[in-house]
Amino acid sequence: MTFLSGIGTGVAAVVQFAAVVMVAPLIQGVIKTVKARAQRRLGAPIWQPYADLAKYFSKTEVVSEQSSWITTLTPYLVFGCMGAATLFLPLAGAAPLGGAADLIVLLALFALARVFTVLAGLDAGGAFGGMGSSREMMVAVVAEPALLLVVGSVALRAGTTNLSQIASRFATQGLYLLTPSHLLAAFACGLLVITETGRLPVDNPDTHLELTMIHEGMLLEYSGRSLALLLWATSIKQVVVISLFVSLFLPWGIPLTGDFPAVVLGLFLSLGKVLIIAVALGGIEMLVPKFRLFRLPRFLLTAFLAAFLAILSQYIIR
Amino acid sequence: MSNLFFVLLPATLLCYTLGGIVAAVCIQRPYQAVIWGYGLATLASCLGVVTACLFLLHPQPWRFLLFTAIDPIGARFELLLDPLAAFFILIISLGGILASIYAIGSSQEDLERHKNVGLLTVGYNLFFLTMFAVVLANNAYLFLVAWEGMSLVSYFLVSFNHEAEDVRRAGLLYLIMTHVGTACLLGAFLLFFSATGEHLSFDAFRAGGGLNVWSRNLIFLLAVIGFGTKAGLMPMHFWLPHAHPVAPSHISALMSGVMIKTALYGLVRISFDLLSGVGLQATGYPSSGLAFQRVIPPLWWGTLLLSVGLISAVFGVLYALMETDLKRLLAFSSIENMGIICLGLGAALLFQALPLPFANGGLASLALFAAFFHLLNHTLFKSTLFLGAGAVLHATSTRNLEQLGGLLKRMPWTGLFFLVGSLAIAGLPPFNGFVSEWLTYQTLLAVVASAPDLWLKGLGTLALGGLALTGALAATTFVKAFGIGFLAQPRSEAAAKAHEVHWTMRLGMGGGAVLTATVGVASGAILTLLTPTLEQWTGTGSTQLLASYPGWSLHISGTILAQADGNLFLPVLLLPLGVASLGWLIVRWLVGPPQRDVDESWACGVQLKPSMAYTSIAFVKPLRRVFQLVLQPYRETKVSYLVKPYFVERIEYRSGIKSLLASGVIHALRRRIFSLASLIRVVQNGSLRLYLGYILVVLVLLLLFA
Repeated sequence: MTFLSGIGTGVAAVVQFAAVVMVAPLIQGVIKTVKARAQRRLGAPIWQPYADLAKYFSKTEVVSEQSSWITTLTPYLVFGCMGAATLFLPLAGAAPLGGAADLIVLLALFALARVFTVLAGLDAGGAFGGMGSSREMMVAVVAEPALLLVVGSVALRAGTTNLSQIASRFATQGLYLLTPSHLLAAFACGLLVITETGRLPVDNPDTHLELTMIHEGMLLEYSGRSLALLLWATSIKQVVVISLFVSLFLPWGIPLTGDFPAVVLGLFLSLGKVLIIAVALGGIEMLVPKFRLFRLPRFLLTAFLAAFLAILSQYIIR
Repeated sequence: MSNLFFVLLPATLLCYTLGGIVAAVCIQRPYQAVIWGYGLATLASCLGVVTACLFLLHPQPWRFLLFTAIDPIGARFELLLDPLAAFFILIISLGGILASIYAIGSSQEDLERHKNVGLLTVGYNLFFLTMFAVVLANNAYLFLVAWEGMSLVSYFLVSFNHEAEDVRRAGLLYLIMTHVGTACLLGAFLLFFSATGEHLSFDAFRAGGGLNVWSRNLIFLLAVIGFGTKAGLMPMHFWLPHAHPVAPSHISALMSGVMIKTALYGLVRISFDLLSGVGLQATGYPSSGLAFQRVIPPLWWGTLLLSVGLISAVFGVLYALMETDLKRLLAFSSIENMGIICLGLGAALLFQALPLPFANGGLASLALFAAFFHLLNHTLFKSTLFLGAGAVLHATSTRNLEQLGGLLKRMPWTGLFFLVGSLAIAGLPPFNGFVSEWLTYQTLLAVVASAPDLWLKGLGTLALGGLALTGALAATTFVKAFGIGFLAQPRSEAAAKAHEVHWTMRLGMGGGAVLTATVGVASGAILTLLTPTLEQWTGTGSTQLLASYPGWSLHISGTILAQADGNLFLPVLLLPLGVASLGWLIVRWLVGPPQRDVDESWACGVQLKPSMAYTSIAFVKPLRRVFQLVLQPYRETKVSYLVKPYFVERIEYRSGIKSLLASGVIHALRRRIFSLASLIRVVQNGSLRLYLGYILVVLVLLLLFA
């Protein structure tokens, strides 16, 4: 029985991994299409990100003569971190990792991927990579405390830092979930989703202008399959972060039983929610311009204060 | 089994002694002194690790009577091996193995410079003996003598390169500050002494008879100041970033990795053991007929340690980030890590103070586990990093990050080990630093969940955010240290000519890196090893509360703490590597073997120069601006002209940060101390006859009044 359920978990893990990894470029395409339509442009087809990846994979790679094995390792490791992160999500009921799907571990995986990307940015010895790296670490430093407080706020209400338990506990609470604490934490987390996915007004994923870019700056030296892996990993991270928001703050409808139709239904429901948030992200990009770099701390301080109040308000207002 | 310890522990101490003696005998033949001195120290440290591990797996209190002195107050000079002491012996010995192996190679350079390496080796072995004595002492007098010995020996080790002015100044500052700390400890022990009816034995202190609330609080406060000074807790930290970096690198590794831990040992010994009496009961020591009473620590003890830890962690790492001197950066980061450990210790004291039946057992053992685990981890990765910095210094003769660069290609092994240490200290999986920081996060969540009032909940929340900030800043700091120091192109002649170091030095660093990785993945084994130490203060079986629930995912609900089916945590840590290699295989299979062209980096079409790469100062510029309220950055530009305003002769530019503390408080303090010292000068004229006269006067007065 345990053997069978072990196989079941394994199959579920592979299915979820494959689903998220394959869907990730589509979400990217959806956001781009939303932006194009809002600007009255036709825009690239929704499948364009897949075509881009295929193109990069087939190209010969050009590597800087200054770079070391860090540059070679980073794309695989970053892809590995984001691929592993997909197994933490309780998209169809329980997360494939079960008891080990810990929120803080998930954040640490993001941090590991970020550190290697930053090192790769410094590796080639050019100025653009260093600029992107330096800015990326600044954003990370100001975002991290808020991120941990959001995690703390949901963990303290659910009594665990285990992601799938938090989601299933929240899902059973129905609309009673909508406490001031929940709304404040959701607001803070929303700002952090924008930060972590590197979207406007924090970073602009569509630019290669040295004055504005953060994430693209670090990838400037990459080409060929390494670039493909890194871009793919970025889009996977986007889906993971959005799904995280969805399972923490909009958990309704997550299947609480393990039977097959419920799981499939849950998976599609999750996909729908992720799509809605993605469209919303595209919409936000239409409304706000990019912030100056030094306005970001204020933006993230707002998130920090909201998350701080989210933790304390659950003890003040019951 | 106990017979084994009778052999092992004295054998360990004997080996250090022998190492010292042999080095002293061979002092005229420094090569032999180095080989024998450090070789015996390595052997002794290995024996120490074996002793500590065996003891922790089969704990039993083991007393060793040093000698019975004939003194009027009946003090017996006892050495006591209990789980806490055994854990710290493990720490000292682990650091000792790494540093001793490394030192064999690194001393070769000093040999060429005709330095007195033999003497350094003697002091090195003596340093270990005093540290062992500190953690084994079961008597206030012996403890203070060992403590003072440790401080003095380490002062001499710090001053090894005494030709340089800054080394002498740093040494003096260290000597002064360590004695400020010792004075506080003396005060604490004197309070114990008078309250327990003039006993000096720790057993008598444990019974705690006669201590009222005020003297208890005062003792705790003095211990925090005294040990905090040695541990580099803010605001008593300012000597540490001066003293630790100027020592030879293996000594720096020992001081930052090991010696400052003995201060935390003292803090734990006093606040958890001597002031609470729990240790006596839990391990079933013969209480020597003294009345025993368990005392619950007041709430503010934990609150104080938590606050001090939070301040040290955040500010320590902020100053580390701004540093361009590699070894000073590491020293500041030690302050940060001491802060993180203090968060755990403070939380443990807090849990013990709470009126929850469950909390002071299970939660306190969780908090202590976080603190002790981080202590062990910090020893491993900080030793690795300091030894790595020493290797860089050895190869390039500079500690300035701006002068380095491109070292990963020239020193591949050193670079790899430094990277492992950096990732671990930044709290990234799968290394050990992540596991202990994760435990600290869980501890702080438990603090917020179980704190009795809103203020404490607020403090816990702040600590949670502060720890996250610390983690992100530490990641930035070590990304900077590795990225600027080891990647891109060399920015100086010396860095371009760097070479890989002697194999013993690589072995020392490599050992540290391997242990760092192993301990991270084998965290379950560390819990087993630490269980006796934890349960000594939190009650037998309290760590079972950690292990009886299902993965290392803790479940916190109010006061209930639980945890999950054991080993799941390990694969999770290695999962990214697994997915990465899977990805590599799939890409290779689908797309084929990689086709790569090598070309120069993009520099807008001009030739790439080393000066185009980001420097250490430039890398942290955005953060310097974000935290300008704390760091107070300044820059001054002085321009002198040949013909104003067209022909500039020279431009002087200087920039930096101002330390909030050092600028104001320290200078005021120093002036006050110097003016006091000049008052005392009146009675000191250096004449021997005058001093003999003083002795005579004192003798006559004693005879008159005694």
